[in-house]
Amino acid sequence: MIQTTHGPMDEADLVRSDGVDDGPERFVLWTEYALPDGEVVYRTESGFAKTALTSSADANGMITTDEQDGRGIVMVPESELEKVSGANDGPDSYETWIEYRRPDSDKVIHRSASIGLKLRNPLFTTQGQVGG
Amino acid sequence: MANSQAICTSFKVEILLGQHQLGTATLTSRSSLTSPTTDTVKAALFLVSGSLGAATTAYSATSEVSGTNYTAGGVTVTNATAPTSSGTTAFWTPSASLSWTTVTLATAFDCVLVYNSTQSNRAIGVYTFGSTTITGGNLTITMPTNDSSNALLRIA
Repeated sequence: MIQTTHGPMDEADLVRSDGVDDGPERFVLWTEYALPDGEVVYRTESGFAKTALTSSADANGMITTDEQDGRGIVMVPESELEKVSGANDGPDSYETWIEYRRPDSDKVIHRSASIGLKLRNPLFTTQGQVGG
Repeated sequence: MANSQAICTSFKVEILLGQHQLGTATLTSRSSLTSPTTDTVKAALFLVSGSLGAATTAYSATSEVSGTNYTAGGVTVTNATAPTSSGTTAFWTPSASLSWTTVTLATAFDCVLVYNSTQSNRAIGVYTFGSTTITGGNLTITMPTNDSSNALLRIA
């Protein structure tokens, strides 16, 4: 049963539609159920906001690096580094990333990323359909 | 070759064979009839040069990423929410994002394999994303909403 705007209705009596809205700020998956005349009586959606990473600093304002010394991983104050952030908006995912370099070097000593998967509806059916 | 997003064909068969148990069984368990257990699910990262996809049957270290603070085999997936269904769709999603902290993965990678480490590392799904690298930093793969329209694993 689907809890529609007209009360509970049998899913078999409704027309299901799935879609994706891939906008500049959000990636949204949605599913709608409509009456045969096209009136949408149920809609659900979710996704993720395409927000940027703004900092990788810990509570003490330090950045971890890929460098090690005798005491372990080298930590550098964020204030001493150059920071660049950005996003890669691809067909399968939305990645937001942040990189740190020392002012006198082009070498990236820290790069973090957060990836949102752009899963389609349905990802997997008993017919083996993938994508959509 | 290239990685391609898919629910692994072997997994579809293995569901019918009862070879995966992503939540605690109500009646029986292969471990014990009185103390049912949940299988451990893991997630591993693979290089752009890999060839994972629908034909992948199990985790293998071939083409897996390597680097500082990355352990071969990947991370254990947080699985606090058992598979369930809504309407005609069954679904399951890890209950926390997949994350690796303070890792260096210098060679480009673009997919994560989710697999059942309890059941001989059998493959569950291959999920692709844009090619990326990590340098002394953190990688987070955000999990979708766990419902019939958005879950990571949906059988409709």
